[in-house]
Amino acid sequence: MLETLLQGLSSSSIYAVLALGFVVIYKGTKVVNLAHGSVMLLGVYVISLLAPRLGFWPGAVIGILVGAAGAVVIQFMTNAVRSKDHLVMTIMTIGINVMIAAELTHEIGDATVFTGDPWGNRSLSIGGSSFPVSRLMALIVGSVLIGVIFAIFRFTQFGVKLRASAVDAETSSLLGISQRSVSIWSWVIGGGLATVGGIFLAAFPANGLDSGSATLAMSAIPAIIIGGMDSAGGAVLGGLIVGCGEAVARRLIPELAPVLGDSFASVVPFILMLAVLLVRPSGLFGSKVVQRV
Amino acid sequence: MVKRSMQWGIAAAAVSVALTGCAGGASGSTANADGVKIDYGVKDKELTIGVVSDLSGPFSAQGQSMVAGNQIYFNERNTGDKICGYTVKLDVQDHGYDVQKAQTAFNGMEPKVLAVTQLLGSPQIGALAPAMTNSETTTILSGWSSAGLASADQPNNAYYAVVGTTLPVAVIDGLSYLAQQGAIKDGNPIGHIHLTGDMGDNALKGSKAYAKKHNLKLTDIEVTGQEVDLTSQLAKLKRAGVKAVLVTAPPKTTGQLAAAMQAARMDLPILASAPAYSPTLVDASSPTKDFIERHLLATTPLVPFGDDTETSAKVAKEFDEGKKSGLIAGSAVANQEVNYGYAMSVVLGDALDAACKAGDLTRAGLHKALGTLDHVTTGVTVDLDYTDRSRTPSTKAYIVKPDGSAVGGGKLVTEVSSDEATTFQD
Amino acid sequence: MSDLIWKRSGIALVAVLLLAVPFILENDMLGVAIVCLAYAVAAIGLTVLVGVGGQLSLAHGFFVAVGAYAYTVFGSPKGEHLFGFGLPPLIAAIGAVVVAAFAGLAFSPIARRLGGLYLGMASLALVFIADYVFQRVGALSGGSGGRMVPAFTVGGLQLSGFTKHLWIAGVDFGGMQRLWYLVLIVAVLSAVAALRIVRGRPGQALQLMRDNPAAAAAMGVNIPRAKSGVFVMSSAYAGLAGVLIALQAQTVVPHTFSMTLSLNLLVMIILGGLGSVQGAVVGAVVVNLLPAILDKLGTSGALAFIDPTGVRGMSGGLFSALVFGAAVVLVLIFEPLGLAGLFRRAVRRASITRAG
Repeated sequence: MLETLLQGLSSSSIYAVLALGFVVIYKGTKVVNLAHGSVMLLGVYVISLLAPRLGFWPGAVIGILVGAAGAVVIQFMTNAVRSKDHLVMTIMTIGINVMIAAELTHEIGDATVFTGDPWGNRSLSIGGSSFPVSRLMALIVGSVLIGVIFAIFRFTQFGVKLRASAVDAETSSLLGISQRSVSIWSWVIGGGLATVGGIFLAAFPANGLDSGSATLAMSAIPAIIIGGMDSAGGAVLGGLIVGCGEAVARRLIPELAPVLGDSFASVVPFILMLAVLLVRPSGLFGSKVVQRV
Repeated sequence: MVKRSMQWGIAAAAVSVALTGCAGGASGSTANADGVKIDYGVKDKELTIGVVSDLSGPFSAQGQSMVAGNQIYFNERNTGDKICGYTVKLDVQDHGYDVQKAQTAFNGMEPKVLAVTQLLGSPQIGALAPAMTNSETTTILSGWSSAGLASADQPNNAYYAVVGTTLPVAVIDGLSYLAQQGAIKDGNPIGHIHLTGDMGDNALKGSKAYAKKHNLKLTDIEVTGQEVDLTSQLAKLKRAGVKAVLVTAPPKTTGQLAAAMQAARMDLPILASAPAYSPTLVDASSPTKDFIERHLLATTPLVPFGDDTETSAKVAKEFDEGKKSGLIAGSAVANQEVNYGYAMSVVLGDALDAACKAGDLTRAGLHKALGTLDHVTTGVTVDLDYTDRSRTPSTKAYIVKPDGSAVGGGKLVTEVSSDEATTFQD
Repeated sequence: MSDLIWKRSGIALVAVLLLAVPFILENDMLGVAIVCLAYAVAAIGLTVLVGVGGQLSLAHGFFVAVGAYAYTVFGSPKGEHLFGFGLPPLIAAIGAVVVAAFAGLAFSPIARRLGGLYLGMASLALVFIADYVFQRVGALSGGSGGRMVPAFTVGGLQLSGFTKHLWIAGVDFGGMQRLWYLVLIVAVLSAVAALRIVRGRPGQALQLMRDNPAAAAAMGVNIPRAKSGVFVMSSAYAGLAGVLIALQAQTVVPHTFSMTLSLNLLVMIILGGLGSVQGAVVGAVVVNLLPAILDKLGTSGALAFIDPTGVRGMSGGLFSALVFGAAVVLVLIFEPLGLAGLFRRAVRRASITRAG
């Protein structure tokens, strides 16, 4: 059982980092970035090209910046919508995703993309089970990022502006808060987080990313929904629930209900998501959309 | 308003009927200058063969390499010993792994081609079977699932040809090789990681059959290909104490399996089905390269690209030349898929030659001719027998060992032929 | 006065062309045309759901799949490894639409509780769950190789699949040709029905609910009932489209109904203009026709940069993907009402210049 929980924790770390990226963008702009997976793949692809020559860390920094830049480009495009309707902007990210994904598939072909990360295939031994160092790093980095983001929201001017805009965009802009800068910075952070998530996704014990990996970012969606789309803490909790739920299901289902098959475990996060939504339509910690009719 | 338009519409239809008349016209066969019967695909001195492949979707890399192989073979024939005196033209269509596009592509090419030298994609293969049968188009498949064989359950596959040993039989051969080498013994537990869907299920039949016969405890695990990593799957295999792991899933999964096994310090043999191995796995940048080179063996009907066997070396040379001359797309990758495409066309080429010799190069004649071939030697695959289309064309398999320094990413170790493979019933 | 004559002649011309299609197009493009109309039906359902009802669904492809598989299962005889009921095709088709509508009804409790983006994400879950079910329950779906679709025969007349040769006006009037007329009739009737709904009271209620739920409730609109209703309607349309797709393809494979289909349907309604029935039809035609035309031109060498073999250029598929992605972005920025909006503006400008 310890082993299963460790595995759950291990994959949770990835889901949490990816979910954070979605949440920051949503909190700042109320748009669900359905091109997140492609931004992630783009950033990791850049790292795979640069790291062999420049080393992992310089390569990673540039990759993260590229991811952030890509995200900003997407922000510009969504911002050009006259009606500023969030649904429309979300749908636009679908169109953008089609373009980026097609181009990346063409570039990457059937190759596998590696970042050359420094954690390699080292693992720690915890109570007889092994826990990959890269996942430990993901947990640490994820926690640090949450702390940083939390501090930004709470204590910096930008954070205050972001929260004010999230609550009431019109009034905030009347008060002189630039919606523009809030949006752009949300996307910058979101894009950078996508690449960071991608680095960990590609690392051991996975084996790199390939052109189909962009859809793996979709696996983080149950995490953000369960947690609540505008809650950073919710993203982490959602990641934990999804990761551990999947690991437990994978362990128990073949024994309890073999007729469901092994692939049922991959569907469990989505079932959990629907279950949570039925009870809490805005997720566990999402701000409630009040509609008393 | 609607009524008025209806009147116009009916008038138009009537006029067109009147103008063009009820011209009948069944397409029967005629004979060419040498007295050989022909029907579709032949125009003057040109014979058109179709290709329906994935050139822009998830399998575009494989598709492009296979097309290169097709092009190499027919270029060889066109510049040397022509097929029945005709110059072969390839009509290459891309479906991007979309079933609809594949049907459109085939519907468009059908009146113009005699046969299809490559059809890629198991959804496409399933979807096009009725159309192929209805039009009597001999089609060479990409893919080794027994779902491509003709049988009572699958009568629509009568015109399909599989090029190589089917997946379950190759698995059986591989397992018997491992047993031969002492890596597994009767009564051992083994694991089989397989992809959801036809390919995985099909290979599993082989491992189940062999396991039954040799009392192996088989732990089979289904994967979707969307897994972040395979640690929990591997934990299950470790608990079962497996002595060897089989994998029938895309190369990405094989890479993840090797990574997970390395992490868990499981130094066991990995037996990969043909679709599970790709030279990219032993690319210099791959962290699992050494592990794979040490532990993995592929059981495949294909000879590695650029192997020093005669035909493979020749194909490799023509591939390089083809790229320079612009015959082959610049983005085509040099790996065993090129050999595969070449082999597909050899099979069709041999059938066309036999049909020509029998004086009947019609669709029906070609179908019959293919059924007479009991020993097709492509030079890049095991020998193939098409006299019974409900059975695998070969019961043998090659064992290939990965080698990052080899051009084609692997070295041919040996050819395996096991009794269990010959007696296997699907 | 002259405006009316223009309009009528325009419609008459279009009707003549539509009726003559099987005599103009060859089998391959005819198949594409049928698919265009079939997806137009699905797109109409989706545009009413998303554009008029304001509910985002990323699972529309799933309901199309339900229709396709329900028809196949109802209409096929019971096989050794496959489910089948052996019902006559017409009953099977009607049953399939009913099943799809029920599936929409089953999902509607979630649709009722959720709004906007949360609903969109929830519908995503449906896609993944459905994928699992289709792969798993081989007896239903026939696995990745798919299963054969029963031909649509009504009163002894076969309207799809492979038929005996029948020569009319120099064309072999086979299953594909006959299916065209069936699909045309179904598409026209669906469009007319949808227009009635959208322009009538249900449509107005939906629009009010979308724009101002409080006002709608005050006017007596039963919000949960309206949400369910529009979901059921759009699912029924999707199911109907599924039946038509199945008839055209003659084999159903799970791969046809992947996430890509749901996304394509969204692209169709955006290009056409959210909420516009005519726009949905145009969008469906453009999205399905363009790649096919590009590929056809590309292989014939007419377009320098399109070459499926990848030797001289990129494939039609890649180019279309780029074009559609860009088109979605451009439409949403410049003309959110899509092609329908553009058309309306052009017509208005034309009538203004003529009047002035």
